Amino acid sequence: MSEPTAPAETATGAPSTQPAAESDRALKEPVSHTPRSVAAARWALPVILLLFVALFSALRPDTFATTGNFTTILSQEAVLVLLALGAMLPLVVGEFDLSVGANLGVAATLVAAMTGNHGLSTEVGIAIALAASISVGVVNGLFVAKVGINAFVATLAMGSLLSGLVLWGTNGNVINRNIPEALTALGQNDLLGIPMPFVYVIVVALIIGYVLRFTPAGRYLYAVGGSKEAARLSGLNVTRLTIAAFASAGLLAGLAGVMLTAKLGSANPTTGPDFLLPAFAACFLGATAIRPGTFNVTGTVVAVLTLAVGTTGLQLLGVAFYIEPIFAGVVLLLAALATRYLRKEQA
Amino acid sequence: MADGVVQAENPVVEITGFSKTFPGQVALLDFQLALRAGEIHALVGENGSGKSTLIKCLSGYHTPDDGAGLRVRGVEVTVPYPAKTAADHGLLFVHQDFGIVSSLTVMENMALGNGFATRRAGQIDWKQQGSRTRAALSRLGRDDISPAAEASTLSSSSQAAVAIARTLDGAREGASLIVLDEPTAALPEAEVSALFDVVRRLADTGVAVLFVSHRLKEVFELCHRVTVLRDAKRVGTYDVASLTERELVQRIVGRDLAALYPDSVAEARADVALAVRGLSGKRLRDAAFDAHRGEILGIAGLQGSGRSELMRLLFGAQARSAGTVTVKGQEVHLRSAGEGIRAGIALVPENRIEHGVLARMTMAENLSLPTVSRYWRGGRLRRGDERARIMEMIREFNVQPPEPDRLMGRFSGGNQQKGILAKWIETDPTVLLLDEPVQGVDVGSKREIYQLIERLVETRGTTVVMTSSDFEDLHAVCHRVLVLREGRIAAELTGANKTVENMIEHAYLAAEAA
Repeated sequence: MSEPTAPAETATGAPSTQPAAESDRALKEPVSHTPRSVAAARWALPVILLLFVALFSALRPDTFATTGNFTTILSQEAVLVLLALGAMLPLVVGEFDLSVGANLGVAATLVAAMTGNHGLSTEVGIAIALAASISVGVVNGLFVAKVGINAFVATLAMGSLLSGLVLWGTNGNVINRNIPEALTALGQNDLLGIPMPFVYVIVVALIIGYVLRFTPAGRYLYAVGGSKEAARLSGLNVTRLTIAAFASAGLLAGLAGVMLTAKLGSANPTTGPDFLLPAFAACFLGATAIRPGTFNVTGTVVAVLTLAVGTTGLQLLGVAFYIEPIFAGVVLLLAALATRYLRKEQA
Repeated sequence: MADGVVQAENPVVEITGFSKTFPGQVALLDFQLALRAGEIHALVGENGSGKSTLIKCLSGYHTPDDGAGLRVRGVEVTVPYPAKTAADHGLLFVHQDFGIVSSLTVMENMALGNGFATRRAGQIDWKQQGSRTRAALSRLGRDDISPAAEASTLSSSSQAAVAIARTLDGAREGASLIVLDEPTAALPEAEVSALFDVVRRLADTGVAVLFVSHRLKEVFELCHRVTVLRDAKRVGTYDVASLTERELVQRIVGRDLAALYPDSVAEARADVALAVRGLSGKRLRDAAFDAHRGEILGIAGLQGSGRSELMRLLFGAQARSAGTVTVKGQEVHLRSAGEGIRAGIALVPENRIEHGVLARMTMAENLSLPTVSRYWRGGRLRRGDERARIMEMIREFNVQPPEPDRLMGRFSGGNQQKGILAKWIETDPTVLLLDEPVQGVDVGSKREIYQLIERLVETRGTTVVMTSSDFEDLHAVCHRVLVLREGRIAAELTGANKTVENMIEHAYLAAEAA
């Protein structure tokens, strides 16, 4: 199993019988400055988002271009943004975490069960849910970085295990009784018209963006993702950084789960895994923007919103129900193709 | 002799007017060359001089500018042509990494790119595939390689032979020119001559061989003629026998070099900076030596002698099983590279591409990786200070082009290595370990790197411990040389004894006696 790579990355290191094929050879000779087309690629996705907004606003001024619609989208997508950022951190260090979706389900049902069924306070319920999700992340990290199990396999197993445990613990039933108001208020209020879930997303995104871009820790995480051995020989504690990335992924999955329950006022034991693939799609789509070829926070957030605005707009236009996943797939492929093409120009 | 084309009788391949312009940069200008049948022709030049561009134009990967002409065995070839069809014109290319899948057998590797011999129902005809493979290898004089052997069991030079045989086998119309792009770069010193035998056999079949290498010694040993490229232009084509190594270097670099190496250094200072006693670990047994302040200590040895292991043990990147290491009188117990750095040790690793650089990060991010925490003050990264320091480093180490935000992978090998050196010297080490610091680096950068090391040793009194497969380098640069053989220090050579002959003798001795 190879390491996850951002879609723009070329497959260097693959044996090539074509001497002139674009491998590391192509990178060896200095080439002129970054072409304008490549610089433009950074802003393609945000521009597409704005174009979508403009297009659907023009086509459906009464239903799409309303405050209500925009706040719904923001509040709706907040959970996915948090989970996507969670999935992104292991990707930054070159690993997959396929258990984030199930981990979201753990936190969502735990916080509902602790507060609704066991009568604990909202604060304690949230603390227990987050502690559980972080622990899952740490265990994933230990398996990958200490034991040396392939991340894909370890987290695939962990995800399956967790979704089974959630079904066991809830007996497959939705938890919707006695959810305290203090909890639902967190998910349903708004601040200056912005839904609270999205306010949390902004705060979390700013923190992660700051850590990744403006601290030594962020540099180290990207370095581990670039080459584990080069990072290790540069004195970095690769094991600890990898565990930290998985633990943070757990924390974010936990936050996403708590927020889902707060928003809905109930917890469905089967929801978590459904979020997994959209979260990864957002990470890879996000890696084609802002800093092409690199997983980044802004790109990931914009990616979630672009897909959400696109699908909402299409729904409001009344297209068939099956267009939605087709649309998401096509956007992701097109973005990857465009970046791949521009990269070639750059090399 | 005069610069210019040596008149080629019966050229097998004639290249005329090959140019390639990229936006804002001319990569190749009006290149011409006539290659004779059966000659081994060296193509040399610094990184960025246009070698790769020329090869990519020939292979059809790049489209040359208008005016390019190509004749193969007297027949005009329309330029450009798609990369797929280069082989149909008899133009063949062997990539540096050989493209051998080590988990497959030799004959399976032969089928990569060329297809398998099959029977009617489409199943593989192993018998025919085997005989086809044997025939292809036999043409190169390598009947000793069994088609059924797994590639991982072969030596590197044998893998190279398989790669060349495969490429030849792929030319349906017969081969006219075969380009070997730095075939020795990844090859252990001891296997180079085995590859040379294959290349000579290849030339004897009447093919013209274009041999690209940074190692000038190989040019003199193997090649008949040499073409020098500098700044996108052909400087000239010469008979190898008519040149000295020094004259060739001058043509490559374009300056009159006093010597390839800096003036030999003052004697080492007396105080011991690094003391090693009884150090053992994987491949290394009971190493004991001192290295002094301001000394450049060379480690000579063959591939597998324990050179790299010694460096990694000293740095803390590999676990030791016994022994002590003392830095400036302090005994250190290093269990990780991080502890090595804190103890005042730095290591420039042997494998630049996999262990040295982070190709997908920028030069700036690479340069400050071990020192970035210095700029973390008061809860934020002082990026202005960091950037200022990085610009100084780039200037001081003459990193070309001086663009901090360019991805590391897009710099030439020599400039990557200067960057790695800068990154480590920035940690201000007491002991700087250099494992093959000039491997795969062009002559100009090589000289710069040695000058930087000299300056470091003189101004800061750093202790440098350095390995090299090139014993000439060790002889010229180091004050003292230890020879490793089969994991043990076999000899210490100083002063007049520090000759290349002595190093070779001690490095090989036991192997020959056994």
